[in-house]
Amino acid sequence: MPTIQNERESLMISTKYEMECDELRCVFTGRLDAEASRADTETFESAWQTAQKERGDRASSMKIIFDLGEVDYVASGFLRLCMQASKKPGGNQLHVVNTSPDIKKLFAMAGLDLFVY
Amino acid sequence: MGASQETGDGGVRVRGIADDLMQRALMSAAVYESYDQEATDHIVERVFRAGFNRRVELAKMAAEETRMGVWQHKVIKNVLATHLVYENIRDTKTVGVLSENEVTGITEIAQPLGPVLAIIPVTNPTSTTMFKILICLKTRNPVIVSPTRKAVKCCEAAARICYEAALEAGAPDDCIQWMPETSREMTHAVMGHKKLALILATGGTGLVGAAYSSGTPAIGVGPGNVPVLIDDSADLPFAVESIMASKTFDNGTICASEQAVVLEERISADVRREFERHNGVMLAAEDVRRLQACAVLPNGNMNPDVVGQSAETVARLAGFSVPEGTRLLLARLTGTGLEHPLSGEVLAPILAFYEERDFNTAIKRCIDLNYLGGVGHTAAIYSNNEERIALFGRLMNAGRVLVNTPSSQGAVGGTYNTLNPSFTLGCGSGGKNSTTENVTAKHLINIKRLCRPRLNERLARFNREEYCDETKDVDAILRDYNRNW
Repeated sequence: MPTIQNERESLMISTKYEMECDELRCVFTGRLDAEASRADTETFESAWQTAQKERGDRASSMKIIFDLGEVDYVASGFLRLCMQASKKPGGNQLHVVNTSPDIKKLFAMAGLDLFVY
Repeated sequence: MGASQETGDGGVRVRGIADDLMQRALMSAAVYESYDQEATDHIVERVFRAGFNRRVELAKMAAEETRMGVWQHKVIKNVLATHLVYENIRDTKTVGVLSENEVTGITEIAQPLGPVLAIIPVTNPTSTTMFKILICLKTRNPVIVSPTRKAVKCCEAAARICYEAALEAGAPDDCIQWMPETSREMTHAVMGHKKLALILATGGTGLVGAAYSSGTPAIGVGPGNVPVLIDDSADLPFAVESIMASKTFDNGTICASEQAVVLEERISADVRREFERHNGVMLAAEDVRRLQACAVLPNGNMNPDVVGQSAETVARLAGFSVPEGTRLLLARLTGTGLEHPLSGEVLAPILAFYEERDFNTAIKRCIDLNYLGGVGHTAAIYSNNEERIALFGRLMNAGRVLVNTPSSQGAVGGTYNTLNPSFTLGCGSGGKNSTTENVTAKHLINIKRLCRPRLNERLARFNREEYCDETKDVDAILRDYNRNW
């Protein structure tokens, strides 16, 4: 169960892969501005690669959960990260959860609301 | 790819590019919507400063690339598009609550439209690009700049300068984009994209028509054919100097520039003398024939080769010579319509010249010119007779009726009057447009209305069963409805 943490003043993303639930859960906090989103993208990619190796032949059915419960702002860089995540093998496995109403609307406006809960 | 119909794989490719542009714009719109007024205004100010600081370089680029107009005049256009537009919109509230009215119970809240496609004409490329970017950013709408093929480089340069400044000021990624290619197929794919919110269509009739036909809401412009009437009460030297400054500005590329001067016979000699004093040349009949054959195509459209060229160049293209330093070609005409090709719009230093018996025949000539091809656009009068000015204002079908003002500069606002400075001049229903106003930031907002209960007291007290009573006619019902409680 790898946990990768990337902490900076303006951002914290913690990623956790849970074999039993077959999901990669990424918990974000703070302001996901352009700079933070760039760092988050690297962290996410690294966690995803690690989880893929652990899962072996079941790689295509892994769920990706982005938990935005502690996020109050997202920039377009983060939306791009979501699009990138949604295109991982298996498709349609991204779930963005715990969004505030403001952020839910932002995803709706961007046409990315299909995977926001 | 050119202008050929792109089908099959090519069509898929074009749609893919359009989808990508729109996806980026949508994401930008989503993020930008969360910005407050202060952050928005900061971005607009930084973009204005960046564009203004590069006004000369961009003007030279535009003149060189399009081979139209005068770069010094394009500098003035760039100043208007940045400095004067910024001054005009700076204090306009475009974010959050716009107004609250306790009496009506209505609170108005600004909401961005979404991605806007900015179609840019060849005649005012860098100025229109910066103008549209500023009003879109002020209203938190991402903008996609679509330049004409003859002005790609300068428009991209203007857009890039604005985009870099916007990003530095904290604007969301992709708040300004420009079309990666300028084919007709690409433009149509974006214009008809279901995610596009609005087209700001400034350009020729064909392009504006295509924008309206795309299914996406559009704010367009109509063609101009600006008559200017000089009556015998006008200050003639002032009137002619003003018309010269307007009609020769950027070699006549502004669609609000005068196309025909109409005057009473009794002042004709004085007016001609004034034009000649300012290097306007009254052409001989034979040269008028040559000029109309050159400047107007057989289908009645203006010849693009003469657009934005100097008077001397136009004369040379038409096959006759004029004295060195000639600034304006005056063509005496006696009628309007297809048999008199120069009675229509030509964006070059060519001015039709009509001498009429009296004020009434002069104003009727202006009506003919107005309805010939410039309905809803602009008309101008030089007079010091208020009754005549009022009559002219009533009879012209024009979004802007300018009084004692150069029409090019007057119509675009911000210098000679208090019209909104703009490079998109609405022409109302006559020009197939939704507004007669000079388009600006306020036209790019959806206004939501939060409505609190405010009962219609008369209706509440009225016995509504009376509506079903066939014996009650309208007077009986209105008597009860309007009863004084």
